[in-house]
Formats: sequence, structure tokens, C-alpha cells
Amino acid sequence: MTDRVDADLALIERYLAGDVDAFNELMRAHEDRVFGICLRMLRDRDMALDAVQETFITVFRKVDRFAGRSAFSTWLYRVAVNTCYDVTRRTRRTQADPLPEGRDPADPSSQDEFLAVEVRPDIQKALDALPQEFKAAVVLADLEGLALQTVGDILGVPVGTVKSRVFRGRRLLAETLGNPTAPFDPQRDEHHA
Amino acid sequence: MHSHDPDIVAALAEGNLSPTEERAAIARIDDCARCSTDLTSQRFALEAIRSAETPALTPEESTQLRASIAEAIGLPAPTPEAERRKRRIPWPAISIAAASLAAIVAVVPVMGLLNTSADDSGGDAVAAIESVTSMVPLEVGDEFSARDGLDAAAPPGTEELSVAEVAPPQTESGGGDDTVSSAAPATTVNASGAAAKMLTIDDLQLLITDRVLIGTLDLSYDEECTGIAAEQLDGEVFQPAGEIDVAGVGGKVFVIVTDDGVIERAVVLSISDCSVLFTTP
Repeated sequence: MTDRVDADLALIERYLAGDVDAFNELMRAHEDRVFGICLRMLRDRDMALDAVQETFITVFRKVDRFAGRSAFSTWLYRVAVNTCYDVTRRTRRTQADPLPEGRDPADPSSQDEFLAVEVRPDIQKALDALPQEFKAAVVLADLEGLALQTVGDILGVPVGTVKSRVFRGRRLLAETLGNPTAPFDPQRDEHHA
Repeated sequence: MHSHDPDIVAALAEGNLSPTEERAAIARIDDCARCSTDLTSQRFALEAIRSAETPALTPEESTQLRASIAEAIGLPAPTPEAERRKRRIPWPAISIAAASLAAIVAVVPVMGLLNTSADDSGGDAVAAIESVTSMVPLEVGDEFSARDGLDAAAPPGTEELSVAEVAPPQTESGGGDDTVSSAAPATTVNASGAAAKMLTIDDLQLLITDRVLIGTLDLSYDEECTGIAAEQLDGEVFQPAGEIDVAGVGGKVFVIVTDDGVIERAVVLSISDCSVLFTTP
């Protein structure tokens, strides 16, 4: 992780000094992950691509102000998540939209760019059913594998809040995916002292 | 009898505990039925998540993306990703076979250009990067806030409200009853004493769902206050959503939200003793 942080700082310096290769290297290092975040947040591939574009344009326009007190990736992913929130607000998508007709389950061997390597439709649908803030926490922590502190930095909330959102997000996911678990009954189960 | 501990349940579900830690965790939740239920659902969800494939850009998407971004920020179009990989290492083989000579074969690798985009125009292109005209809604308290000298103007409604102070709700019955819900919005008074704004459930909603930091303290899991909040709100609560000042007293905000993230009910408890400072109907 530290190597990546240092590498990004070096690339940013080179980019600001006029090295166009540095732009390519920064893109190469982060574009897939940013795309993954956006696709899981937005579900629609075209919307995700637009969000990725918007994210990187914003970041490269402001990178001269990046002070390096946090990791570049933390800032980048925060912009990505905020961009996705904005896209969601703009389009006012419902969370239960079905997939377009004719779209088969993702086939990793498919050459069709629209089907190449997507989240399983059932998991994506379950993710879409989550409240935005739960979805963001689950996407970043569980799907992207980021540390809880990093997720907290990205979302601008304390670690405790991240834990809560991830926990509740997983619970809702399980219910949506059909986990046959009895719902919590406050009359039956224990309470705090 | 053990109480519900979501941290332990989550740690067990994630499977990252050492054998000793795992035994201790299992013992801790052994007679907690709610813990068992939660553990099952956490593991189910994690298993589904871990089976999900990782999205990735196609080379064509990557190329188009970089070209669009480069154009927007004033850079020359980068080399297409597929072409870059193809041109990286061309290996023309040169073989000399001479029947008259003892079969001597030499292969001379020729390294082609790795990237043709690094030309002298790069510096001019970067210098032509346009100034920022659009703002990303940045979180209060991050490194790009005004204290760093950056002109990151916060969008309306995203100001940090930790200085807002809420007057205690008017009691409707005898003294000492601090659990009366306030049906009307409470008047807020800022540190200078001047009336600032009315704090309503909509304000709490804005604070929480628009990702504004209410407070800066670490909101670690608070068993006592959480239990009281659950009783007040007659529902399951997990963590404080944030903190605010209530007439100079630090308060933790607990909310019950719908699946869409809309606040249904809220209560503010004193940080020091978990007494009720403010409730909404």
C-alpha cells in the first residue's frame, strides 16, 4: 500500500511537471478500480463509464491542489463515490429496475463489451436494493476490499459508522438474496443491559 | 448471559481471526440467539459478495476513456492501449543459415518505441490545463477545506453544523420529564447567541444522507446509549449517526431510517450520561 501511495505521488509530480506518460500511468493504475466502484454503484455500464470519465476529469483538473496528506487513491475514490451519488440523483433511478431485456448473465469469456466481466445480476440487483450509503460501504469494504479506515476517509464518516453500514448492508443483502434466517425479534432476543 | 456484539459477529463472519481469537469470539456469543442469526446472514452475504466477479474495462473502453479525459484536460490523445501492447517489444528474428558454415544463427532483438506520446508538446499541453470551473461536493473537514487555503466552496446545506445548538424541547407535563417529544421544530441558537436556524428532522436527514460530518469525534460503539436509544425509538439502532450540540451539551444522534434512508424517528442523547436531550415524533 505504501509503495502505491509513493508511486502515485511521484506520478502526480511528473504529471504536473508536464510528463504526459504520468497521466497514462495514473490512469492505468486506477481506472479499473474506479470503474468497478462506479459500475457497482450505478449498475449501468454506460453510466458507469460516464461517471469514471467525470471522476478523472475532476481529479486531474484539481490535482495541483492535492497536498498528499491522504493517499491519492482515497481522494480519487471519494470523488468517484460522490460522482455516483450525483449521477443517481440526476437520473433518479429506482433501485429495483430490472436488467434490459436480452441481457444474459455475465459470461467472462464473452467478447461483447457490454457483457464483459460484470457483477452477477442477482448480486447487483441486491446491491441496488440497498440504501445508497449502505451500498457504498459494502462496495468499498467488501467488493473492493478496502480497509475500514480508508472507507471511512472516502465516505467522510467515522470507522464505527462504516462498520454499522457494512453490517446492516450485508444483512439486507442476505435478506434480498433469500437467506432463510428468521428476522430479529426484540421480544425474543437479548437487549443491552 | 452475553449481549449482542456486532463487532464480534462481523469478525467471525469475515473469518480473519486467529484460532484463539475465534474460540474466544464463539464463546462470547454462544448464548446470544440474535448473534447467531446475524452471523448466518453476514456469512451468507459475504459468500455471495466474494463469488462476484471483478469488473474491468475492455481495452477499447480504456482507450476511449483516456482519450476523452485527455481532451477535456488539454492533453494530447494517448496511445491506444491495444496498440501500446502490440508495439512494446517487436522481435524480428535474423537467422543466418549457411550450409557452408557451421550452423551459426544470431538473433538480434530490436526494442521498439515503448510509448510515442512522450514528445516535447507535453509541457505546453499541461500548461494549457484549464482552471477549475466546477466543484465536487467535498466533505467538510477533509484536506481540501477552506483551512487549507483552497477555494472549495461548500454547496448549500453541507456546512458543518457542529456549532449549532438546539434549545431543549418544551416539556408538556410535570418537571423533570425529559422524554417529551418535540412535535414542532426546535429553535437553534449559535455560539454567539443569535438565532441561527430551525433544526428539524429534515435537517437531521440532510446531515446524515448528504454525508455532512456532524461531529469529529470517533463514534465508537456505545452500548449504554445505544440501548437507551433503541428503547426510545422502539426499534433497532446500531450506531450514533453523528453528534450535535444541544444548548452546550454534546449529544449523540440516533435515528431509525427506512430502507430508502429516510429518517422516520430520531433521538439525541447526552454524550455524558445518555439522558434524552431531544426527540422527534
